[in-house]
Amino acid sequence: MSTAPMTRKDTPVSGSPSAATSMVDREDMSLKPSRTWMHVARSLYRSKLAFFSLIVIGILALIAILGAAIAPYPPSQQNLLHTYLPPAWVEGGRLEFLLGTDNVGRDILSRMIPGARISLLVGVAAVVVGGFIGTVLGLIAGYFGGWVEALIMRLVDLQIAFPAMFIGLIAMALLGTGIVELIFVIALVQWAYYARVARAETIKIKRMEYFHAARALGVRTVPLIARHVLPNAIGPLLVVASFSLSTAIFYEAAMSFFGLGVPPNIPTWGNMLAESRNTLLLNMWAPVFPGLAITITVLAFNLLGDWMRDYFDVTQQNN
Amino acid sequence: MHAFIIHRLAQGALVLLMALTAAFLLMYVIGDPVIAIVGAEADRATIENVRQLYGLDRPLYVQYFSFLTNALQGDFGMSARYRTEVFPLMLQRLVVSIEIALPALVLAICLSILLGVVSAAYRNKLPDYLARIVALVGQAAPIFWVAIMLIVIFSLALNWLPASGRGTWQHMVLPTITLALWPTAYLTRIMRGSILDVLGSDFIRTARGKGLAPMAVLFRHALRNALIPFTTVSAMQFATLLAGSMIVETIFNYPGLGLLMINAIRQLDISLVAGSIALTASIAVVMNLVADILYAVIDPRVSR
Repeated sequence: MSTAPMTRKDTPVSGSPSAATSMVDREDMSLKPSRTWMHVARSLYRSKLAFFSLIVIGILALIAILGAAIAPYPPSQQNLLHTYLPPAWVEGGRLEFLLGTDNVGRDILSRMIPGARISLLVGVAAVVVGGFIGTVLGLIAGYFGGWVEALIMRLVDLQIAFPAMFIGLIAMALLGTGIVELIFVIALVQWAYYARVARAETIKIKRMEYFHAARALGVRTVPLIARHVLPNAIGPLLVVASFSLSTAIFYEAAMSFFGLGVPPNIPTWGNMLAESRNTLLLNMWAPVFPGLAITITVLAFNLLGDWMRDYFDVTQQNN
Repeated sequence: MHAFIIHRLAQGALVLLMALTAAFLLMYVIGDPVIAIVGAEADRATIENVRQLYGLDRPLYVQYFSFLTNALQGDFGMSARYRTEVFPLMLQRLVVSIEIALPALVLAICLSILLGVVSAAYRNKLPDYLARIVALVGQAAPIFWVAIMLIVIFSLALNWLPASGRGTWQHMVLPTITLALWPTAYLTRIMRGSILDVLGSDFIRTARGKGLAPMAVLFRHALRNALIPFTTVSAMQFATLLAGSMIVETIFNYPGLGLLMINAIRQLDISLVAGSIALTASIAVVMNLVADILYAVIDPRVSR
């Protein structure tokens, strides 16, 4: 097999001949993880937008992890001599306050950096919680069918019938503001999308031969779902997760903006925007950068989601 | 076709029933409707009187059925804050909201068809890239930030348009634009995608093969078929606009349904919140139904 003539149909950009040979070697064992990862990496690299957004996400993650350590000032340090400063490159701005200051002279950049941590933390946690609940319910609905499925899917319908912001705000008003509360509320308004996709994929997989084979071999229900259904449904679920992450970041900012999200004393992008509204006449620059940060973050996750959707569609066609 | 519509109607009715149940749970289990009527400062004797007067001392399931029958007649009780019937108040504010929501939807539909067609016609050329950037950024930029930036630019810096309130047509410009942005971006992507889908199909190849001019193919054949998915998605956008109006009306202080609902939630005006839940669910269910029926009418393959 290794001496078979090299066909390069799969690997137009592959480097040395040995790499191409090993690709051919693995042709028969098509689900080897290393090859899958190579394929993912290559497709990502080829899609410039997705590659670029991955870099942006990486930088954001780094900022979120390092947090206040890389900020020029403590986030709540006031400089009453330098209030309402525009960014440094605008007339009246000062170099030591790169993006300007707010109404009590707090450095905007120093407040935005811890804001990144909260945005990503809330977004990722909400996706994990919502994704887990939705996926489990969707797998159950698709696998068992019958009244269980009917019940779960009517709940999904109910959830999706409402604008998410609307239920989210009601839930936050009842629960009270807080980061943990916000994570669960965002999960609550997002689980239904995972459930829909997980159910649809499960129904598709239930018709496949390998599934019947596994069941005929006596694989029990839970391992059957966990090992044979879930791994093959993971692609479409990841697509949902990527888009959910960007909307979760939007919800965090929007609910904080309304005073029903992260408590207002914690600096987040949404809280900074809400504060800037009160002093717009004195400082028109204050809302610019927090809003830009939200836009860039949401855009990066949307682009990644777009790429994933294309990627998984393509592989589905190949199968 | 009839069976299909009846099936969707039944599904919609079920969702509505569940929404009313959720509203009931919110009002009677989490909140206390007596407090909503008399206010938190009332003395115990008044509270007991009102409880008996309104039949709130009856078993919960009796109250549930009377809540349902009242709700189906549009009776959600009194708003604690506005001291008036909830349902007429909501309808009155809904009309005000539609004043900006409808122009926003029309604007979004027109712009997105234009951008989508241009994008597909000049695929992978400059106009396509520009339209795609507009769509991507328009979907990513948070609506409350866009609203603030529009106020900063057009009200504070240029002093062209008022930043808040309602009255003249100038008051409607900024809220309408803000509200239209997200649906425009979203619908542009849908439009571009569905035109490109149609352009790849066999009958377009046939149309081209018989020597039809590219523009004729685009407008006479591709656009008409691409409008099928587009129509249903646009109908569903109306429910999204309702959510957007909560944000936009708050920032522009525009006294529509969105602002009413936000204030009700913030002040936990329970009967008004319950009424909003029912109204929002009804609008969403009706718009989804309209979308489904439109889809089935335009594309008869669906209902089979």
